[in-house]
Amino acid sequence: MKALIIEDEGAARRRLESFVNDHSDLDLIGSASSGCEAIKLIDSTDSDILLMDIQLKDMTSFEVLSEIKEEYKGTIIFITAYNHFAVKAFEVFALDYVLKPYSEERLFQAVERSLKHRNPPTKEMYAILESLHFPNKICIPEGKTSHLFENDQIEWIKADGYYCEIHTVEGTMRLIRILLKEVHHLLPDNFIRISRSVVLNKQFVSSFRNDTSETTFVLKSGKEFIGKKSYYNP
Amino acid sequence: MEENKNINQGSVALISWIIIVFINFFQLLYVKYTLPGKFDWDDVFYYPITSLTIGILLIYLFLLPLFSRIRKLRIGLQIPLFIIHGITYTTIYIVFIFLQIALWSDNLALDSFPDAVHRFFYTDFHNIAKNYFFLLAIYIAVEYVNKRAKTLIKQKELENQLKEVKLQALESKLHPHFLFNALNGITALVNEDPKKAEKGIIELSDLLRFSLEGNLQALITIKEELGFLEKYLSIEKMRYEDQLEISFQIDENVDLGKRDIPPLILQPLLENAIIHGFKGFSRTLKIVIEISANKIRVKNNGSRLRQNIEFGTGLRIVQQRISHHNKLSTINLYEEDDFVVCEISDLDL
Repeated sequence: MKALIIEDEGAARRRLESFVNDHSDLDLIGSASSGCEAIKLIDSTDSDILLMDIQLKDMTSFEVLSEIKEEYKGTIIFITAYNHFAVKAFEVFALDYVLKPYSEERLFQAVERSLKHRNPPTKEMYAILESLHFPNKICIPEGKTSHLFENDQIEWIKADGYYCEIHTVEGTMRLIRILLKEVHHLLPDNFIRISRSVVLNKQFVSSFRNDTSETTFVLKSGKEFIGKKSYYNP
Repeated sequence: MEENKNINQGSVALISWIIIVFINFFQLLYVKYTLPGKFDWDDVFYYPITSLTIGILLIYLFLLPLFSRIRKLRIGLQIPLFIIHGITYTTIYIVFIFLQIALWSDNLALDSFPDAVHRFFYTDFHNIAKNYFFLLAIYIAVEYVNKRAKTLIKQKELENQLKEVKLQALESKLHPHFLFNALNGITALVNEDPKKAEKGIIELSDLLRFSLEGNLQALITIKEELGFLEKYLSIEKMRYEDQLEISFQIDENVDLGKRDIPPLILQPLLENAIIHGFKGFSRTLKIVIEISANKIRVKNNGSRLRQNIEFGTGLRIVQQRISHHNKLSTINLYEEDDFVVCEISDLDL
């Protein structure tokens, strides 16, 4: 396995280098200390795995990955310091990552996992990485595109097959190809799934009626939704 | 300030009493004109004038002092006391009003006085009692309004305090990003250079301690601020090593021991210079900190300023804090030669 290291902080990079050198399956073929160097390095070598810091000093990993000549085919392990939402998104879309500061064991596990599954970058990965530029917005990936919403903009979401209808407070609707389950995991805690096909923003619920097996939620806009207890109150 | 907002219970009672007396007067006047012969002119004036004077005297001497005293007791006691107070008020009122009318009229018929009072008691006791309840209701209503105004003021104060605290929390926070990156750097140094790792831990602890416990209100000396800054910069230097070069230029005239700046105003400027200077820049980032008698400048040779400059939260908070300290002070971002400069102007150092 030919490995590249992309990390802008000296000591951290040297630690990664010695980790890769000590790993029996990995073979260090280069390391870069900036995004700019990383682009050249990725383009000029043929690597199987990237160990990559997400927030490089001169650019983000998203910019690196979108500026290289060919789409990266190997696996990537992301290294990040702190980002609550990014970590959520990494989990939902099964991206490999380690949080700083990390132990060698943790890094080892991440490498093992990614060597075993060998999942090349997904389209959502690009969207998630791009969304890191907007830490205060809600980001819903659709293929390589990120749909951005303000925190209190989404009123309710309805599943429609492989798609989701995202309804906003302005009364507009966006159809996005993503599963409701995935969307729900990406959203902050004020979103509740009330039935198989509906997620509501709690902020906009004005009242609810409890019946024996179901609950009717009424939004401030007057819309009503039937919720199944098994979903929101397990 | 609170005193001004309170409504005076006495004056409200007084004004309503005057209004009632006037209504009574106009009613009598109306009867006088529509039913000629029922009243003399004397009757039209006697009753309103007597009820006005006695009513006002009683409000100030008997009602208000006792109202406030009774209201301080527990509610179970208040009700019987108000009933007794009410009956007493009504009695005094009736006795005095007849006494005054009797004194006023030419024929002071003292022998028939108790009889007249007695008869009036039978027919009009409830009317006077109503007056009592009316005044009591006004008293309690005004008391309620005042209390509400007070709670609103208190609530406002609490909200302001909360805002202040939130702002402080925001100010004093080292970015989690910085913190975890620093810890990661130290982790890497533990094997490579234990001495350096030790230094890093101690410096980061000092930063954290000040950030968590430091008093952001009190002014500090430039020397103290620079001490804090050096710790911060030494961590950044530990992370970026020779990709980052930092130098200080301090004017001789500056009195470093003068206690004159709010704490932690320089660190955000440096953080800003490092984050934005490095954007799309791959050479060594040089940062110069210039301190002269009336301004502080943080210069970096990194990436150029963008067209539309918008301050991030860090700079905005510094702007707020320094202008709170000195109205004239402002932050400016501009380019000079090959440097991007962030300047705090009009300081007095």
